[in-house]
Amino acid sequence: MGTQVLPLQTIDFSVPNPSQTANLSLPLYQGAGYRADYTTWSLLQNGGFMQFNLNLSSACRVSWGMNVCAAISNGVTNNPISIHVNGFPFISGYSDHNVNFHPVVWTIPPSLLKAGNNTITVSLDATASTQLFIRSVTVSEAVLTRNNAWNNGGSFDNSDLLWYAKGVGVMMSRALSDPTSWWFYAAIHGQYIVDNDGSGPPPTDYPNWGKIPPVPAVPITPLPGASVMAQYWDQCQHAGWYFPPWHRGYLYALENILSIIIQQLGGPSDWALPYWNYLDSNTQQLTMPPAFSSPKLPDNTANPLYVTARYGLSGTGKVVIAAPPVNQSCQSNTTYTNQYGGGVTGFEHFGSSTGNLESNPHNIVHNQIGGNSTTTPYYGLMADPGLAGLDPIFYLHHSNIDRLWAAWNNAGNQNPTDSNWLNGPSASAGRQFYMPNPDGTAWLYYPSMVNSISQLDYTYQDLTLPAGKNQMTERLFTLTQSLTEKNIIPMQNDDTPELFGASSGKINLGAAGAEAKIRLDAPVRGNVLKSLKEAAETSLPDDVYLLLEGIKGTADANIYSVTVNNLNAGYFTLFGIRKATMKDGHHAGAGLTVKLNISAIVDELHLNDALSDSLDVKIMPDGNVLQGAAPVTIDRIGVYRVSNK
Amino acid sequence: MRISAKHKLLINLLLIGISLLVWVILLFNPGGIMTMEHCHVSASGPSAASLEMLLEMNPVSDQLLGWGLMVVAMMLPKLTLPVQQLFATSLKRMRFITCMLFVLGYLATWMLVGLFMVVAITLLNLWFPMSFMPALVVLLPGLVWQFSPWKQYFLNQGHDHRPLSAFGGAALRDAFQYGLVHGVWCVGAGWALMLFPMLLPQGHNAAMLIVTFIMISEHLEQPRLVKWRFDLRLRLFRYLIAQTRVRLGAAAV
Repeated sequence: MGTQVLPLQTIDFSVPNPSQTANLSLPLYQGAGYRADYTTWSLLQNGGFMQFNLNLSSACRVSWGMNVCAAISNGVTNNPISIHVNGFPFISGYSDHNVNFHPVVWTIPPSLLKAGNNTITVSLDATASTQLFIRSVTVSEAVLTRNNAWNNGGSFDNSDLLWYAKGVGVMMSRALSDPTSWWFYAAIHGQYIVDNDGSGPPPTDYPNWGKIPPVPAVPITPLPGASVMAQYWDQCQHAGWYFPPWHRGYLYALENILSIIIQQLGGPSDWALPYWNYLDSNTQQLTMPPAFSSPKLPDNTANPLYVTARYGLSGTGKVVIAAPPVNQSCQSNTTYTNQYGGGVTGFEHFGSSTGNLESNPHNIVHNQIGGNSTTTPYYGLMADPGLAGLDPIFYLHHSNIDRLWAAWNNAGNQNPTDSNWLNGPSASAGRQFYMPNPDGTAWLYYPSMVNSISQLDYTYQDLTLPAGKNQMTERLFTLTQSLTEKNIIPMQNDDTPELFGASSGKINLGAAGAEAKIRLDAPVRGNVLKSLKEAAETSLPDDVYLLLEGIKGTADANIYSVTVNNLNAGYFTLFGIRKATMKDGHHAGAGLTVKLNISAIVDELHLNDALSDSLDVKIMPDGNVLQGAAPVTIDRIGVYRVSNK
Repeated sequence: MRISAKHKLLINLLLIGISLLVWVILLFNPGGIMTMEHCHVSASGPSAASLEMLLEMNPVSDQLLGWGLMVVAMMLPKLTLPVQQLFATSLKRMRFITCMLFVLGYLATWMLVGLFMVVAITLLNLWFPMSFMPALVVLLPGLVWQFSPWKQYFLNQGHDHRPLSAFGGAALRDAFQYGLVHGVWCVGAGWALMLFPMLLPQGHNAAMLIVTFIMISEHLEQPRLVKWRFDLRLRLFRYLIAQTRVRLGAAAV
């Protein structure tokens, strides 16, 4: 973890003149003071308050603890207090009924605090009729731990999920125009209500938010002002190198809001967003935690985590992740740019250079949760970036993606140090990343501010992840039939990949899939074959990629498998295709581009002396495909060679 | 696929370098190709004789050469992205020729439009010799166009970087066609901005520089909602400030 901004400090109120600490002082109080008969301070009945000054070198998460007990009068304790942090009503109406001294703790998110002096006021509400005794106040920097959602069976016995549901319920009760509402937050990711200057015209039918079948009942009014929408909405970064950091900030901001709501409801001060580890294929965790599939909470009220438009792979509503194809082989990547985290982009609501973390597991899990309905013409909310933020499971999925990134860094892999990455799209005068703070103000952030989870004062229950197989080592063994002693990590190749072959003409990807013959270029084939024949630890073979360029359509939920000469080349999804296809959208209608590494297939063809002058590519739907969906087309299938020498 | 940083730099340097070189030529204005020459006869009013005189002093070939040089100077920097894309998606041995054909197709569109522009410029100069009137006449519809949804439509279309055939003649044909079509979107977005400086009897070069700045800024913006919008289009200016700050080690905002 990073250097602590705020070490543990306490003010002892068992004396009339307590010593102030380096960061915490009591410059002002009124209607509060030392009670010699009880040897402690108390907030009196007449609206007394104690105003603390908390000095921070930079904003951090603060644990605010008090050792308190309630006074009893005529057999009654009535001592509601409020805590204001820099004027924000952080805790309202907390009542204590314990007449013995005991600790109470709250966690103040950094978004309410600032570098320098912060004012924290503890006051007795006007309705109080008994006192609250305070023996000490303790502050320290706090670190939240995001826990596995499958703890305690993934049901509401897991308090993380129960309080998440209650917090989401409060956010859902707020108006669309409120920056701290559930709906506003979903629209930050993407929306289909208005054309927010380049987000594209909203569809007239589903997935227009006005056409989503409840639950949840999604509001489409009242809209915030145009400048607010332009600042916040339609920000999600996909298919580019800001995908991991933008989503980290998105989760973090939501977690701050939920943490406050949950504490205001009387929930735990250490609540943090859980994660769904669907990569743990040895357990039942492939199934969505049951708290999300129950229409009711334990108290028999409606469950805010329950969503109707969540159909799963089968289309019937049962959500189970299929692994394979979902895997964590991206964790074996050693390079961020163009590999793990995506290619160089500016602000791209949908770019065309998807990183491996985003391709698999992120995209595939999105679509395996969302899926297509077998009984209605709808696909699931999770399968479309303009809807996904509406589904509460979204944030647990992304918590897991964020965990993978943190684990990848934990294993020693480096994020980019390029100033254009560290400064985000503002480095190219692009739109900036903004999130609403709990008090409605704007948080502007750059990747440099979310480079590691220690910067943000949270961690994960489990950051140890098994790495995927090292592909180059596997390939060398296959090609040379000799064991290598260590993992082979190719040097990063900075040359432009060389076109090796391509299809001719547009390809229609109908409900039955498509087949295409890819002509290979003879001179390049000669070079590839030479590199495969000469493969050795000191002469690494070429990599070969299959690129599906310019995939266009509106069937976001569809998943496809790809074979090359009847050998499995992997899977891809159409997550985001609607937005990427919009002609007047941010991506100019260029569609999606999918990249699959087919080096192992080319190796096998070479060993069988079957790498001819063409490849047969077959693309087949995986799972339930929406009937009657608009056609999907692929502009071109290209094959590219990357030399490893 | 991604293009390497080395190739990206090479393409950018080549296109921007040629542009700068032509800018230098234009600023020196050899043979007066960038400005209309007038004689006192034409000032007496439009006539067949004055048109003849005007054309003698300003041959169409010279005017077209000037127009072409202006297009190269102002427009080449806008072609860096499609050229990079073509480079990355073409067979290695065909990269240069496909990129060349794209640029030639693009210039061909502008030269075709230039024919009409030169006729219009000549006639306007015949009617209003050495006058700011033609420029003002174009300025008004030009401003309307500049902030119109139609202009935004053409700008949006200019972001359409489509994949092309990979092999043989089809690859060459597609690259040239791509250039032609890209040129059409560019003409739609920039015709008024190109015409205006050509009609100025003075301050021609300064206007061209400002217009170039605006056009590159427009090109840097992502596609946006097709609607009326008052926008000075200064993205390039903001970009240069942000990059300067970043290079100096400060936060970009």
